[in-house]
Amino acid sequence: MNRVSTLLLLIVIAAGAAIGFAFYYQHRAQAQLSAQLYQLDQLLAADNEGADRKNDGAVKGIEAAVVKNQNQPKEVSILTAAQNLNSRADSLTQTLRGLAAALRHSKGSNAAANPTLAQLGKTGEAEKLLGPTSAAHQGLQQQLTEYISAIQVLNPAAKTELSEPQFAGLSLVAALASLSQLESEVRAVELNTLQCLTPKVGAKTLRSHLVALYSAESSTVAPGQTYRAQLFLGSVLDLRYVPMQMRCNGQPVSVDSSSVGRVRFRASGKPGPSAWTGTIRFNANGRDTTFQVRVPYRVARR
Amino acid sequence: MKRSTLLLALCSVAAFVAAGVLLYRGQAQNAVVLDKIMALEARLATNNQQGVQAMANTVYGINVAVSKNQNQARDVAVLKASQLILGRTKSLTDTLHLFQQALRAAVHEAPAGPLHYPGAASQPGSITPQQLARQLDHYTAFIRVFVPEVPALTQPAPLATTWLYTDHAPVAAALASLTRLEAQVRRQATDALNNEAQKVGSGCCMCFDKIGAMAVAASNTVAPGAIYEAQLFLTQAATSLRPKMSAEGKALAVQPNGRGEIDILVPTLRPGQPDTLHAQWRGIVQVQTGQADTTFQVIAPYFIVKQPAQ
Repeated sequence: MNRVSTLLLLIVIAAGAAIGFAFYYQHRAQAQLSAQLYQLDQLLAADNEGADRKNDGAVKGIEAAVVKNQNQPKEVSILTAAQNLNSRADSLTQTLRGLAAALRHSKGSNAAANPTLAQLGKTGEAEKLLGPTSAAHQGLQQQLTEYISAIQVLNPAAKTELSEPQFAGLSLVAALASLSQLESEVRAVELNTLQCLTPKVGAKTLRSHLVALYSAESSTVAPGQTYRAQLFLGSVLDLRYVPMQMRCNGQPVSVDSSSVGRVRFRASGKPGPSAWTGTIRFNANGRDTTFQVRVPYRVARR
Repeated sequence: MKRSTLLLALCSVAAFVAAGVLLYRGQAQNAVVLDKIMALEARLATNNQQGVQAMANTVYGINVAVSKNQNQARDVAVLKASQLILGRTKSLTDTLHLFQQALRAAVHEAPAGPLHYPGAASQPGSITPQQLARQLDHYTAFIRVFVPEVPALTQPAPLATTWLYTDHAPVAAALASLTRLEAQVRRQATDALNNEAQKVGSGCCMCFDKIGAMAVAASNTVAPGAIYEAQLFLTQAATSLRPKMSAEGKALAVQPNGRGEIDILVPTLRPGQPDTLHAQWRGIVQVQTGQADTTFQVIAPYFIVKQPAQ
């Protein structure tokens, strides 16, 4: 061998070693990134479970409000829309989780419960199962399109952003992460829409304000005697915006701006215990409601 | 040049090209995985933000339940614990955010927003991983009081080699590790708060305030043929409030039914004073609603009559 060949050989060996190191570093980086992505994926999957329950709860909340408000037809249709949206999101979730399970159990990966780093980094399976031309990909795509249009009917103002499912060339862990990401986005969009529907159902609750009140045993006392009264806080419901009437023994009573009626009548001339009846009748959400209270008092002797 | 040398050269060039192609593809694959890490990090960060709100709501719900249940000592302890959990979680989350900002600053990225060079190797920031680990371990010890089985946050995950991130990991991956820790902390804190909420939540939150008509007479006794006066209104039981009351500047004992009893001993009339005197007392009711104190005031007139009606 001459000197040129020796030199060349040395260069080749040096370059080979460098390439080897490059491969080693790249492999190590890949392993670390895959492990990290897998951990994030597991956390997001747990969050997705929580979002599933949370959204079920939001639908149940709408249902409870509609039932409590006596199933008004307009509200029942909102409830039906919410339930339909929830079941659409549920079936999308099933599809996405089914695809994830199929990926994990496919012959090439076979990475059921605790996949190894090698299995997670493997490419090819995702493309085979979920490539752009596969039936699974097209089914998913169609389901997502339908989902987005269902959302836009209910909430036209919402900007529905779901990521485009792309599985070509992805490693197993990247494909699994894409599926979890989609599920998370689907649930976020669902919750957003349910939160838009919630204020549209249910009886409007009456606002109330607090007032300090007192009630004396008698407003007249003799010198040297004890005056007795009670002081307390009352919560007065605001009836300014609903049709209402207050009566005292059948006679209308004037009501001031703070929704408190002023009862004033001449007491009977006969000493002894007596009573009057107060009635508050109001109409909230199309229903007539009447509250009555019987108030005893005493007419003193002369 | 000899033929063998030529052959060797050709082979090596071919090998180098092949290796280059493989390395390039590997690099592209890593870039894809890093992209996915960023995408999942964004989702988890959104969930973390919503989690902060949800946790605050839980503590508020506990607060409402406790005050509806007359602030019993056992319930108040639950409220205190839940507020402590919220506070500890917030301070740890703040540290994680500071760590992220330090990481961004070390590679000259803006404190927030998308990264310009997500693949750049991360540099040590101003907070050391050891300092962070200490705070995480303190938090784990704290939260185990409420949820005994939580795993330590400074243990590496099954496939990972480190609990945080490896030296010189891409900055996007390093930032994602902190968001991941925040998500783990958020899940533990949420579990702990839900446990606390269940201790006070039994039935108490579900009962509705009773609505009814209420009448308050200025005086329960009137002279025959005199004017009787009262106030009539619709009310919602406000028994959860424990007001402080005073009349004429003197504190009143508030009964369990929420009423303060007023007794005023009327002095005997001095000679020369008229037979009927107008008198009045001023009552003040203070309630704590949320953080603020609200004060209500009434002025109650009455008569002192030499020949009393009764």
